[in-house]
Amino acid sequence: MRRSGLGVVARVLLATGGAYVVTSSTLAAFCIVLFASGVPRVDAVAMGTILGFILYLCLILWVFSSRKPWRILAMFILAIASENCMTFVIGHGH
Amino acid sequence: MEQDFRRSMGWLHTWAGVVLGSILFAVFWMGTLSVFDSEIDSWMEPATRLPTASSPLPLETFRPSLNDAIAAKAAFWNVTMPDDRQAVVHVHYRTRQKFITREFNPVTGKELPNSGTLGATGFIFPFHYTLEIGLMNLGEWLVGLASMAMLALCITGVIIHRKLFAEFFTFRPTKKPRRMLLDLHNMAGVLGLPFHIILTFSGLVILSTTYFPGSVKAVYPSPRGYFFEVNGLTFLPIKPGKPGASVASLDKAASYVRNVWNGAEPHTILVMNPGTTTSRMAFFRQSDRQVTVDRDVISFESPTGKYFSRSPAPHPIIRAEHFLSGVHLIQFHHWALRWFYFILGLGSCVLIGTGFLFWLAARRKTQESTFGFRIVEGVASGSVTGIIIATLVFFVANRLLFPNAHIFSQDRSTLEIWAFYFSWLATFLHGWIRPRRMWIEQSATIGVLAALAALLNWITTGDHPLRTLFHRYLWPVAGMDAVLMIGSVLALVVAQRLSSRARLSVLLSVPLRKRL
Repeated sequence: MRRSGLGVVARVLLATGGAYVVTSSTLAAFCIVLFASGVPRVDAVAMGTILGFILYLCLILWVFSSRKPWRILAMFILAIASENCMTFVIGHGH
Repeated sequence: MEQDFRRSMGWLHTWAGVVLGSILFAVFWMGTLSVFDSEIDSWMEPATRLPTASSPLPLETFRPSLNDAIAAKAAFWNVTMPDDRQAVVHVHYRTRQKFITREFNPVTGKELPNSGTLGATGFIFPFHYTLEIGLMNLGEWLVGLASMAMLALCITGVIIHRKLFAEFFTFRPTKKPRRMLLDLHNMAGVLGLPFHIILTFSGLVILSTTYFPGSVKAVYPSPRGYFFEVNGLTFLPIKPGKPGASVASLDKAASYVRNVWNGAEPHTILVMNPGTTTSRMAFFRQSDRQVTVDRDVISFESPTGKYFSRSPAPHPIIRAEHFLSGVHLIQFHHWALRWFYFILGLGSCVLIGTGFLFWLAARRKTQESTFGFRIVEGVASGSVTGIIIATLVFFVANRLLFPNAHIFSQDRSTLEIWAFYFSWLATFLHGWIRPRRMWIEQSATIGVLAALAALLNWITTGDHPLRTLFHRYLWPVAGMDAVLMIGSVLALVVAQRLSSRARLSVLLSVPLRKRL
């Protein structure tokens, strides 16, 4: 596959920005679900943030290794949308 | 992105390294120095080179500084007792305008003259995780980005390394420079791999709430709530009170605390909102015998001295998090391990530096005159040898300027920082102006500056290596001088080797610098 300047920029943005937003929304949803199921909130946040970096790292490597970045973009959008909906619904009013 | 998985990982390894290598080197270099921050402090502040006290001073000794803090309407006042690594008592408080640090003799309780330097704890350590860019936490975010890149570099490095185990100890110093650089890069990378990964990861975890505030916001009304809860600071938050209250006896509270802890000493004593009716004081237990940073905290109402609370024992997950931060912050006292951290940290610096050099060596023949190559070479020299030179200039400036020096209406602590930044900038310019030669010249500069720093320490304080070696309380100074002198010799040997190799290639009529 040929390397184009625009393709590289898009991939870097997808890996840093896109994967960051996915990780961030996953963490928020993760913490809310744990908290709602009875885990103390301080534990939920501590565990979430530790695991978050591993998730972020995996997502970055996935973006750079994949041949079809468009499919990843679609999955990212889907994940961000669904997780934010969930956070909004469950997390109303702490 | 590329034809196969390994190639796309190789592409990521190369370019993440070249683009973020400068930040990574700065972070690892300053972090490595921060391992010995208290020791560098005592080198930079000769007035604090004092024998350790046999018993702690009564806390009421520091009452005058507490009264100063009350008069200045400080948000907090704290005192840190001396320990194995630093002999003096530190008092800190924050007034409306600035953060104040005062130092006291641990035996007499007399205040030491203003140190006139930020030292390692005030400059090198914060530089390690903020790059001293305060604007919108930009520095911390850049460090976070570089740290994520470092994790990705470690993983991709293992993936693209073809013979991970076969070439575990392969080092061919006599081969071509390119081969030798790659061997060195692989060796530093593979041998230190657990260190690179764990230290990078734990560093990210320490700043996790900066990077992912969303997770805290999801379950806490305010981010401070999580901070207080995870650190056992249950005596915070405090409602604002009326001024005019006094602070009850610190020593009476301290003796209560010692009873509860079976005689263990408090390490830090904190008074929040001193002088107000809602003020609270807290005693933090010494925790230098364990890796995990979870200090036992006992707090009192300041105006009455009445017991208020004790931090609850942390949950297992919080303990795991505190263990990770403890591994990174090295607040435990273990000399052998501390040196091990230092050496492994230098190994990380070698890893990043040789990464840059390999990139350059692999492209020198084909792209030497291109603009991109010149940019990377200039940036690499400024960010590898350049930051070392800047740090040494910082040390030399500290020994050359008088503590009360004032130039351009700036005090010495500011002048030292200026010296750091000006010399750092100069190394980038030098790298740009003198292609290829700058490695020789900057190595030689490192050698000269390091020797000069050790010599200046002797001249200005009289603490020469023979004296410092035979006094236990001067060992931190002896250690710093020893590292400076070993570094100086190594840098001079490197400069000499590089220049003889350059001369040899001129003799063999290989065009070294086509453009000159």
